[in-house]
Amino acid sequence: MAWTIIDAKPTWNVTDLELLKRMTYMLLENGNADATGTSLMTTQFTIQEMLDNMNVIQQRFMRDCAPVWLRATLITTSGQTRYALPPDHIHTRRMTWQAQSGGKAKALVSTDAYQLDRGLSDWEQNTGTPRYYNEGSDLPTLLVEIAKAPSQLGTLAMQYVPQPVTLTGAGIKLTIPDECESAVLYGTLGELLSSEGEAYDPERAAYCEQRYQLTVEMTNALIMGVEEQNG
Amino acid sequence: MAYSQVTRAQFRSLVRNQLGDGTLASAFWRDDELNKVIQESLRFFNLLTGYWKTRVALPTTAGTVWYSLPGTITSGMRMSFNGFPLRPEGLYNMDFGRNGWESETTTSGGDVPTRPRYWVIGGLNKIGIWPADAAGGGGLVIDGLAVTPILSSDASFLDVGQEDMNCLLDLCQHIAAFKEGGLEFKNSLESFKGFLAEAGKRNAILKRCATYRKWLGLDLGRQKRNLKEADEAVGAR
Repeated sequence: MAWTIIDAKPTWNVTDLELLKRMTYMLLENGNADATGTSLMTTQFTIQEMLDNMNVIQQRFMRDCAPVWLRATLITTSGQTRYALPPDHIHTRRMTWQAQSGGKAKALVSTDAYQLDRGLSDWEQNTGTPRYYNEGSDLPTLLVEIAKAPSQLGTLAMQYVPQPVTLTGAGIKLTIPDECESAVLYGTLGELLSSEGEAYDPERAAYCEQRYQLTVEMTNALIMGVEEQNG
Repeated sequence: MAYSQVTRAQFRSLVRNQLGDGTLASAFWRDDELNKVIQESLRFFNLLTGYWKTRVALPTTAGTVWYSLPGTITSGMRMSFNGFPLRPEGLYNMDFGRNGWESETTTSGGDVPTRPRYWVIGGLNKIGIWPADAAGGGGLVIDGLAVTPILSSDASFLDVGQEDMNCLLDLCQHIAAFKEGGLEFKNSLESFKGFLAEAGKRNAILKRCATYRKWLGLDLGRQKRNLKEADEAVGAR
């Protein structure tokens, strides 16, 4: 059974091409002309190298901040504990389970196998109403376990952080808000300037990493704002 | 009502003055490059200070808990339903204070209110309400951080008061100096600190950020203090 993804990935306004042009200017690769985002003056960097790093950094930012959530549902089978996660899954923010026969969708508590084995030692033997989910280190990748296994048909609902859209340089919009663009821009520049070779510039690479971190902290503040208001 | 005092072209000239770059478009910094620097500075300013706000209206649909925020808003700050303010609440509190809340609507009865009372942030693209509006057709109004205005042409106005232009110019100067590297870039960090200090006046949360404090050297005094060390132990006890 596959997950049904309820939401489409949101996009904002900043494109990969815009960031490629910015980086071309910032690395003095435009020569005496406007940056095109498709070619560079020297062979010190390549457009593909920039794109590869942009994709890595955008994924890192999604993992670090969880700025975008998608909702997905899955019909669970009676007696089955393990289920495959969506292929674009980065991180689970929340999970609920609801019996198909009725009742409320109850939030599951995140746990791990160690706690389950000691706190709920019959969780593999018996079925019941799922109360916990486990994505712990004992599991293979992209797999989630619910405990106990459901005793009846039900719906597992998840809010998760998805992989962002892959940037190709063709004007693809980022999967993060415009205000967070500096995370991708400076994160990528930091990777480029800290790579081995003539481009190695540890001072500016360290600066870029700090700019990335500041954007992460401020984005987290935006997301956590409501919880902070409540102390 | 937006500010309409300075256009992008005028602001770009101010940035060139700051950079000592004259007025030639073919100079070290190209016009296209500075336009992008200005746009980046506006977005970073908005992230740090939440300068631009907007209001959007969303109609509720029957029994729906989660709503997608439109692309014009980056993050919700307050919400109301049919003119009644909703109280912000964290997901954790909802899940563990009222487990099953997503299945409750305004017609559930019992202790469930008959109109939505709480709103919940789900990332930057989602908001939830409790209880869900059973009938639908209600009016949600969300006030929040607006997506940074995009300056699409030289005639576009910066929606910024002149009192904030100085710190934006500092930021533009600093961003533009990045490509120079070396001493020029290092010297421009003072401009960046000036910008951060101004931004910190508008946002107390920013002042708590570790990276911000490190840049401004706010915790240097604390770091210089001697650590307390226990006296050297003698013997087994």
